[in-house]
Amino acid sequence: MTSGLFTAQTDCDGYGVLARLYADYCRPNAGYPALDVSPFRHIDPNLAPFFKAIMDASAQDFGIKLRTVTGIEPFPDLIANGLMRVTGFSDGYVENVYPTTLRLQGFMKEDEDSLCAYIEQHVLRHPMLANKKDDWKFHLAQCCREISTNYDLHAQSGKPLYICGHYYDDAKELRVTLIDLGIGFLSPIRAFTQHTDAPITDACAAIEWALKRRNTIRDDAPRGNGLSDILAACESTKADLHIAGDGCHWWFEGRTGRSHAKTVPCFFRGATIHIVFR
Amino acid sequence: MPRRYPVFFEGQPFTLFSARKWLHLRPRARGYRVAVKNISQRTTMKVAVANIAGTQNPMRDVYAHKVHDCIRAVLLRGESVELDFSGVKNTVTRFMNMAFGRLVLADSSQYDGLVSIIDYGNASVGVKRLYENSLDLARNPQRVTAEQDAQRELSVLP
Repeated sequence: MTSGLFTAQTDCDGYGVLARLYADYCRPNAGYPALDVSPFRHIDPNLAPFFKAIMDASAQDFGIKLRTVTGIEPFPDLIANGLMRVTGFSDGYVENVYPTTLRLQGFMKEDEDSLCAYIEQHVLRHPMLANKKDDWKFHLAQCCREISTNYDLHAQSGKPLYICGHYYDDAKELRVTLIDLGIGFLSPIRAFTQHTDAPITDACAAIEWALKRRNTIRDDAPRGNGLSDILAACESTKADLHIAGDGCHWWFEGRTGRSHAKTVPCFFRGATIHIVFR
Repeated sequence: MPRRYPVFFEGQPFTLFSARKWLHLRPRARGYRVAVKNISQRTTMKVAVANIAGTQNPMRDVYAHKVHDCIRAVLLRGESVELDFSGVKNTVTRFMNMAFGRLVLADSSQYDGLVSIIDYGNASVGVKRLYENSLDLARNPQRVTAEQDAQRELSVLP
């Protein structure tokens, strides 16, 4: 990573910065013994899954086993949400000390019971969400459940789905980040649509295609409402939805009801989803 | 050792007739726990989703296949089904589509005529919403797409 002060927030620019970090580490003969976050001035705590995913991807693709995480001390929220526990470097670090923290955890596809327990105990009983209405909480929980149960079908990844969140008291927002190390949106959708009248060839179009109700790459049952229902839930609760992968960052602004897409030169493997509940 | 009676005849006396009926139904039930609500009518089966799936959180396809196969077997016999969602705490769209949407897609008129809901259980709001959404998806293949497309404006930033 080049020197300088970087800011990683839950938006398109933050995704680009972390994707550069990912590209820097996940290459042959990278030669870094540690994942160094000291060039960062600020990291949104809910972006902690990026660092675990970088470690997983570098080990899986290039056999690079990072031995520690350095420069983490200025980011107590990242320690509090369990990044050091999940990465295996928890010695000397204490997690879950802040009421704003939504702990980092990974779930395999067969972990639906532990996922539901996580949502019930950590998400819905989050101290900062005590005043939220039941309908709002249902949308929040359902979004997490839908993404978590569908990722194994679409991502085709043997790695877990990582979830982490953080409540931002000043903005009154709960930002939740979900990351999988799968094949992303473009590859399966391009293969599925290549012989149709409207073949999908770029990442932004693939994400938009996946968001349309009834669009699905499988025909064994009526499908294609999982992601569109999440978007509808975001529309009804005025939440932001960010989907990134394969060189595109697509996002929906709940306050304005507008969606945007932007190509990013550096991108992360698999799919990244942020949901900003407010 | 207490004597175990078959679960098919809850609340019914264990008679020679009911035993014959039990022996008749058992192989068709494919080993899943199925309860007959009213044996005197012999046409309505109460299907407890949580019992058949074997979990309070039926979210994966493996649970959906169990529920789908159970209901399908009953419908093939020409009997009607009463779905009982009590005990289901958490579920997802994918489960609903695989368990119920497939049946509607195969024959929506048969499904509408023979399948009814008797209880949405504790998670009534969420389960009811997901169930109806899934059935709507299967019944109306293209209805919503154009409306949603018209509402959504995409602006690609440089």
